[in-house]
Parts: sequence; structure tokens; C-alpha cells
Amino acid sequence: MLSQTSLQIAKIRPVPLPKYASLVLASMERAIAYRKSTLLNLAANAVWITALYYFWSAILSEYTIIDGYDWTKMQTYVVVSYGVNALFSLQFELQMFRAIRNGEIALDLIRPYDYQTSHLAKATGAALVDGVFVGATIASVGVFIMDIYLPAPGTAAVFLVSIVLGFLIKFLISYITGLFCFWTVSSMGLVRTRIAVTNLLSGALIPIEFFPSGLQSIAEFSPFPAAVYTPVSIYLGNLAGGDLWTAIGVQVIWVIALWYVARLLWKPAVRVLVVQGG
Amino acid sequence: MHYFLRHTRLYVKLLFLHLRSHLEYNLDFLIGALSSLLGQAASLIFIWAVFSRIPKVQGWTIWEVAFLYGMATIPRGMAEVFMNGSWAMRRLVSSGDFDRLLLRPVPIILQIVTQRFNVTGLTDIAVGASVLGVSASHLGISWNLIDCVFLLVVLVCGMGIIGVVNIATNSLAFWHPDDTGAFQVFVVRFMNLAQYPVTIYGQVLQIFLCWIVPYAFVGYFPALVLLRKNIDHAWLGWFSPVVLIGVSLITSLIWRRGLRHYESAGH
Repeated sequence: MLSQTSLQIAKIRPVPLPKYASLVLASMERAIAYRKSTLLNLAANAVWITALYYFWSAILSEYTIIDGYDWTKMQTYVVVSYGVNALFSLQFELQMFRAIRNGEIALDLIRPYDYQTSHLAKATGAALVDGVFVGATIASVGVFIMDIYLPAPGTAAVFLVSIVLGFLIKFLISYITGLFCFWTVSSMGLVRTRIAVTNLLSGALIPIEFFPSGLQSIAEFSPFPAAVYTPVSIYLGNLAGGDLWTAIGVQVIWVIALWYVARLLWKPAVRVLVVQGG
Repeated sequence: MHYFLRHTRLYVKLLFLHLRSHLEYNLDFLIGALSSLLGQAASLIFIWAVFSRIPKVQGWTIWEVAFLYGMATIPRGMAEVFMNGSWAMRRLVSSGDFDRLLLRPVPIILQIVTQRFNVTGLTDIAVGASVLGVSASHLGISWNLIDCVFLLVVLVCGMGIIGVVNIATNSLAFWHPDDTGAFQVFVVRFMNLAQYPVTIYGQVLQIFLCWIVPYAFVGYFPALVLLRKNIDHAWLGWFSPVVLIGVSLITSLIWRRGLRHYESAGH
């Protein structure tokens, strides 16, 4: 089914796409083909947003304002942070782990692609589809049902840049987790840890200002806030002028740093994989 | 009685078989334990961070919330250790290996439940028990005999509810063995919500957690009883065993229909 559509597209297209762009396309087709999972993802997102919405509504109806967050600002935080966080679906990450476990990775290694770049391409495809589905639903729920506010056009543009950088950071964090899976046969534990740590430290559950000060400084020196908290802060207008560009700069630095950390880990990871025999 | 003992023995034997194969991989055991610890730490830090800013949420103090968290986490861990096997259903049915279970002179459900043994459940149990103990002493709860028996019963019932719901959702494999399992994960993730006071979540989610997938009977309602909370519906805490029986009856119906529907993978 899937390969058929790919073939059809290949026939229609006279000039071959650059090789990574075609990977992006294939991954998008795949994400669309798994409509049921995408719908369930959407339902799960709806549940989480509802839960967080009522949770903060219960708290803020008693205390009106905490650390500069009133009810409108908190609603906006919940909706936007969830939207940004949802841009990278778990489904894709598990695919990567499955390929390591069932030996499909051997084929991946033979193909004339750079492993890291090809995964980035696939992640981008999945994120684009998720972005349209999840982003559209969340945005409409946020604007029409809830009471979130919209950013100024200039801020919105920087926000979009920051989302892309945040996506790259999130991709690299899970890609590096994926490389660690070369050393173990049960990767679910690693995935669970990654999700727990990222959700907490990236600010997907709770604004980082709310952390006790010790944890706040730990978070600030980790790459996690740059994945979610930074774009959301930009959206909320918490960052302005010099701070705004510093935050973007920090994101860029994390993208570059993590990209090379992943490269460094690649060689020892493949060596272990060969010992395991695929 | 003899029947019961024989099957208990079988259950323990089958479970230990899987435990042994698990312990072969030392590194994995460590990674699993560490990951579950970090996951628990993240949730506890979340509670701590919220309550570092405010004294109470809907009348709940930090130690009461921690108590409830512990009460919901222990059965969660127990279910992962003792009743985790239904997650193997999809693989068994789609590969046709399910046939082999049908041929053995052991009840199928017993073989299914013992298919997997998730060691990380042990860390969950340990963390849950510590959180429960610490918060109980902070709250100054004086345990009498009835409380202790009640606690033991509701923990086992909680495990049962989680485990049986997993069997029900994973029975979906009889009809759709090639699914991704996203639905099963979707349902089980509601347990993440049931670890906190469920009245916080608003009407729809509350009804869902109480009467559709009754995870509220795992920790929330029983915790109300032990915390001596003055809430109208606290008496529901005594009904965890009834809920477990209800869930089991419905699940056995689904299971039987599924078995009847099962056709071997044909290879």
C-alpha cells in the first residue's frame, strides 16, 4: 500500500528529489497512513490538556496569581507548551528502537545515507504531519474553547524560529537516547526515562520558574528547557530585547553541541552493535 | 482448594521462569531500575514544585497528595510484576504462537498473565511504599488493625483492576493483532492521572476515571478512607473489591468472545 503510493509519486515526479527530501516525504506518507495512531495521539493530547487545564484552574481559582502567572497566562502556557511538545511523536522514536532490536538497522547502515541525517529527515516528515494535525487542533481548542492570547506578529516570527530550534534539540536528545539503546536489549526503560526527564526539565508540565531554586539552576544548565520552555517563553512575551536573542543563541549552541555529541557517540555505538551481531 | 493450590503453584513457577530470563541481563536490570526511579523522581518533583508555591490544592496538602501517590504507585508496580503478561498478546496472536498456549494443559489466562515480568515494577513498589510510609508518618496516621487489613486488600484490588483492564484492552489483539498497541497505551496512561486527587480534573475526566476505566478505585477512593477525609463520596473507598469483580466479569466476557474469534495466524 505504502510502497505503491511511493511508486506512483516517483512516476509523476520527473526530476528526482534530493535524497534526504525524499526521506522526509516518505516519512510524511507513513505518518498519514497510520491515521488511527495519529487520531489516538490527538485524543491523548486532548486528555492531557484537559487534565492540566482543570488542574491549574483549580489552583489559580484559589490563588489567582503565582509567580506572575494568572489564569489567562497559565492557560496559554499549558496550550502552547503542549503544542510545542507534541511536535515529536513517540511513535517515531520507538520505530528507531525497533530497527535496532530486530536487526533492520543492518539495512539502514548499508544505505547510502548518513545515519544521523536520515533520521533527522524522517523525524522532520513525522513532525510536519503531527504539526499540522496536532497544531491545528490545539490551536483551535486554545483560541475558541479556552482563552489563550496570541503573540504580536514580530514575536510570532521569532517563536516559529525558536520552535524549529526546539524541535532539533528534542530530536537530538532522543536520537542520543536511541544510540544508547545500542548497548542494551530492553530500550523501553531508556525511552521512559528520557520522556520523564524531558517532560519535567523542558517545562512541558510546569513552568521552570516554579521549580525550587536548586532544580531551576540544574534545568538552566541542561539542554531540556531550550526544547520547550524557550519557545513558550517567547510566545508569552517573557523574553524581550537582548534576552530574546540570547535565548535563541543558547538554542543554536545546544543544537550544534548535541549534533557533535551524537556524532562522537556514533562510532562506539556501532562497534557495540557489531559485537551483538545486529 | 486443591485446584486453587495447583494453579497458584503453576503461576509462581511460570512467573519465576520469566524472572530468571530477565536477570540474565544485569545491565538491563540496572537501566530499568534507574529509569523507573527517574520517572518517579520526576513526578515527585512535580508535586514538590507545585506545593512549594501554594499550601493546599482543593483542600489537599502536600503530604496527603504524596500519600495518595504512594497508594496508587504500589499497585501499579505490583501489576507490572505480577500481571504484566497481557502486553505480549499482540505478538503471540500475530505470530501464531498463541496456538501453543491453547495446546497446553494449563489455563490460557494463567499462561498469558505470566508471559512477562517487568522488573522495574519492583522499584515502583519500593518508591511507592517509601512515599506512603514517609507521608503517613508526617500526617500522623495511627494505623489500627482494620486500617492495615484494608490497606493490604485495596493494594491487591488495585493491582487487580490495573491488570484486568490491561487484559481487556489487550484482548483487542484477537480482532486486530497487527495494531500498534496505541489504544492499550492510551488507556493505561490514564493511571498517570489517577495518582492525584481525581476531583481536580473536571467532570468528564472524573466520570471516565470512576465509571468507565475505574482507576479512581485503585488509589483515590481508598486513600480517602485512610486519610479520614470528610468528603461525601469517601465511602466508595470500601468498594474497590466490588469494582474489581465487576471489571473482571466484563473482561471475561470480552476475553471469551475474543477466544471464539481467534483464528490461527495460519503458518
